[in-house]
Amino acid sequence: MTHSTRTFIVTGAGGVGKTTISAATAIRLAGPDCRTVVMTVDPARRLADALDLHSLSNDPTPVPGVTGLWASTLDASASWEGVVHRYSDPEVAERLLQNHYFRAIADRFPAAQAFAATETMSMMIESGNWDAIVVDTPPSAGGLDFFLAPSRTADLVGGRLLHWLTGAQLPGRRFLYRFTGRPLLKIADTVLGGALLEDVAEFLIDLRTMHDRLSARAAIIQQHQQRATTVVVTTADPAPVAEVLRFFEELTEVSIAPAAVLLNRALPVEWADAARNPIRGIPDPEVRAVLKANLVRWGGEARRQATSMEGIAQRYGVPLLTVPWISEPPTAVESLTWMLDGVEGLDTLI
Amino acid sequence: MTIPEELAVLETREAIAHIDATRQVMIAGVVANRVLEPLDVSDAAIADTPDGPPRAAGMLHNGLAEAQMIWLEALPNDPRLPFLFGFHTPVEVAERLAEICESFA
Repeated sequence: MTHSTRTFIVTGAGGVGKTTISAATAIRLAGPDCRTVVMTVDPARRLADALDLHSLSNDPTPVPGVTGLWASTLDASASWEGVVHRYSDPEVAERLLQNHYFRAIADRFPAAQAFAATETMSMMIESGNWDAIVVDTPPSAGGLDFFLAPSRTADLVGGRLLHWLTGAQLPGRRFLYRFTGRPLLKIADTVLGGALLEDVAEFLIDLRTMHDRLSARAAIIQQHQQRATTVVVTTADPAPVAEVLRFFEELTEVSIAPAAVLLNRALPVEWADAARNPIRGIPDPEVRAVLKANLVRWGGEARRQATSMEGIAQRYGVPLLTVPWISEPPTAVESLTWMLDGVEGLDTLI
Repeated sequence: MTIPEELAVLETREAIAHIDATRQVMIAGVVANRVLEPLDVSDAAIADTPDGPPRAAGMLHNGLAEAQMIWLEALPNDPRLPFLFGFHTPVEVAERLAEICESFA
């Protein structure tokens, strides 16, 4: 049943550990009574490596050694094909997929992969096959694209520019080829030639025909996103923190409120105080001096982290979860299993 | 610019390969930022100290430095910039990096 599927969206800037956190969360959720799928839209194959899977695809693959866990990734091109087939008549879909303008958009439109990801997430929710879904969002725009893609894609397909080019009412297929058509196309025809114009016109009209179905679908996808538990992952570095602020500000546009901020690579705050005190119990003066100087440096970092994160959680009224900084990021199921142990507030969230 | 971590180094290597293939731009150097030098105390000596922040910070530092070495070896041996402890703002970081870069000249 759709209503019984819990969805977790893990988002944030690039390089803050989203993929690792997603995998670890999915492992924590999965079990004999909780069929869980973790999906990554990150083109890198880090999730596959972390989960000992080397051939991830759109179809969820069972993760060896973890009962109840599947993993999948996204081929953006293949997913766009699916979207076109779902929201167009068969002949229009075939034409669009053959059209080189459409292929260029599918490959390069910034929200294309994100929209395909939201579509895949929604289909997984609606399938009723999963008790829990964990989505590792792409890092573009700090993960914002994933949330804004449905509205942006609907805007593209039914956007004002497209309406202006094709007219208020969907025109007949040959309308745009005539010199009595839109002024811009009239100029383009003169400059570029009729064959190119035909391609463009055909593409624009086919795109328009997708509009109603796709925009209705985008609204449903937004509802799935609004019901999901969204966690923003960050480190205490200035750039990711700035992304977190931007995230909270811009997500109000689509009525989505993150449930928590997760600070990855957190240092113990007590290091800041400990660095001010003399070190005891280390007889060797050289070792003592080196470790003292090192603690002063890392204690300063701990203080910097506290300053940097201060107020974010309070400002937006969400809990701040912290995952300790470990020297080697977990890259296997075993280390992923324990990495979230002891993270206060996490189990309440999931 | 890169940092000695898995994702950054893999993406840097992909970018280098792509730029080399297009032959439109020469890469003058690959600068690794936020590099940690190991402490002048061995891991064994740190492990022998009592539990507490000095030991934990020492273990973390040397562990990170060791993990960085793996990724530094995958990069050209160009200038490296140190991890800047205690610098809070981008302006502070930029000023300190400028001083370090002057020392390369």
